[in-house]
Amino acid sequence: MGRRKLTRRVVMHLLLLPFLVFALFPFYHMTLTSLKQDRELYDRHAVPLVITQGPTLEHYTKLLWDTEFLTWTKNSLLVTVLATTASVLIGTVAAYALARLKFFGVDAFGTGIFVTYLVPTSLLFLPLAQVINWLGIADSKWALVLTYPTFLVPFCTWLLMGYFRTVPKEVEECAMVDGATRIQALWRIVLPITVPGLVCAALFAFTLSWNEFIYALTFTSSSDQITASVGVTSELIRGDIYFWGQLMAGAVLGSVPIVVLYVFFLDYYVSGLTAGAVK
Amino acid sequence: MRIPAIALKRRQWEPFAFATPALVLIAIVIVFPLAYSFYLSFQDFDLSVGPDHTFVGVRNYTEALVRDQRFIQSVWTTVVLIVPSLVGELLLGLGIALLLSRATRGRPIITALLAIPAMVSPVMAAMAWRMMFGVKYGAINNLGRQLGLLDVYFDWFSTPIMSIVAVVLVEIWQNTPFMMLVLLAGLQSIPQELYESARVDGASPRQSFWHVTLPLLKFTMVVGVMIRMIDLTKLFGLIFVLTFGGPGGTTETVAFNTYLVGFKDFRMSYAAALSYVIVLGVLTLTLVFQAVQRRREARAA
Repeated sequence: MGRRKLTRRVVMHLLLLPFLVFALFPFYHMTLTSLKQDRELYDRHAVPLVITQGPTLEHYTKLLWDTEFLTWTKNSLLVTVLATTASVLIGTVAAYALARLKFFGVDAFGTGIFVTYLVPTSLLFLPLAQVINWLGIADSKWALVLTYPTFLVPFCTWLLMGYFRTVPKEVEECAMVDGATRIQALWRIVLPITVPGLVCAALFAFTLSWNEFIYALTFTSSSDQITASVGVTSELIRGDIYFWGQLMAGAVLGSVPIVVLYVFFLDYYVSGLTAGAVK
Repeated sequence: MRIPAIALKRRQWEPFAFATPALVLIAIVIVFPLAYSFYLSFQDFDLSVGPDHTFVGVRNYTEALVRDQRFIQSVWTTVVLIVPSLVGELLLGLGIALLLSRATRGRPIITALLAIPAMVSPVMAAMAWRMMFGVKYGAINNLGRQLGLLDVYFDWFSTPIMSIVAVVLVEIWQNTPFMMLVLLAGLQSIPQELYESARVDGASPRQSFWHVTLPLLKFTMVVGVMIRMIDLTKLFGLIFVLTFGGPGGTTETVAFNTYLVGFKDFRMSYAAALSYVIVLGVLTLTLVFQAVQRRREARAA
């Protein structure tokens, strides 16, 4: 019996192996390409799975010093941090109000937030393009700081509503009876309990804006204003020529922040991804 | 100690004060774009002609639904991409989730590794695939040649069918982890006692899968599929990187089509009308999906 159980366990793990290879191979190949010398990269007879002619950091140094990759990354970081902070703050207050208060139209708001998820991005970015022109921030990273919250705020609100509902009302009512104001009750009592929810919302907002592509592509184009995803895909491809080494170096560097965050906060990611399905 | 009811009641007004700004902001973010697009969709606003526009009634809508072959084609393309992607993601996700729920050793780390494709930037990841599919130096062609499986350097994006297969493959690669995580959470919420009592009653593992696992996992599966379906109607980045809608527009999704109409042709009003047609389509699909699900549940109960 014990032996059969062991065999079954080994079989389960072996069956998972092909999926692991499938999931991770592109990243392996991405990293490998970024470290290959051009000579080997463009050699049809070289085996693509390994580096045989020696690794090089040439693509990374070229990417960092000969292109504006550092500027793009700085833009990405600036936009992501500002948009995330603003969205989590607004989302927290809105979600708290929606989860706790009974007032006219509260359900309509809840539905409205869900509807924003259904609508195609194009429906939102046509009007947003107008707003950006009116404000005179076309082709600027500030346009992104302004527009990312349009999808981040509903997302954070929706996620945090679920968390706030799990906090028993009595906890804050007690505090308020003891003389705390509503804001103090939220700040001192409710928020400390919902830290996991806040971390989760912040992580997802960060990931969504770091990975965002369509707004960045539409609203910015100057080389000193674009974000990393747009920079890598637009400036490292000239016509039909793909600078694969640098492209893949950019992809590796662009993925690192997310993978690092993800490694540290795995449980939060899982709870966030499955929040909609479980709650 | 009894609380004076008045004191609590008075306090009920406080939250409105600080909730209002956030709710107004959300309303602006949701209502303004929807309303403005709706208004635009009945105008003839075309930036390539000029900033002036006038009311044209439902002309944009009739053009979209009746005359615009390219749009109608893009609807079909979207459906053709969505169906196999959903089926693939659901089946693979379910299979992996089942394996994971039985793998006792190192489950967290294996789950984490399997989920990485869903975390990193879709555009960057699609670039890695674009490179592998490359004609001259792509890993797939080179390996295929070296192993004697291919006799030419095949251009994977030169035929409509292979392009669609490639897009679906990358889409499945990228989003199966989402389905896997959702289904794993669903599996873990099924009480173990149910399996034990099924076993006591003499059910084989296969029987307990069909009669315990699947019925209890159905709701999670429906939710997962619905979220992916809505996301897939917005498929853009993958198309942009892999095929740019080609060859000959055969992989142009509705999202990609609207982007081209709005920001390459600058036909703002028409793009708004297209977007509204898409919203109505997605909304109808979602509602039909829910209605079917409810009816089934009612019948089962």
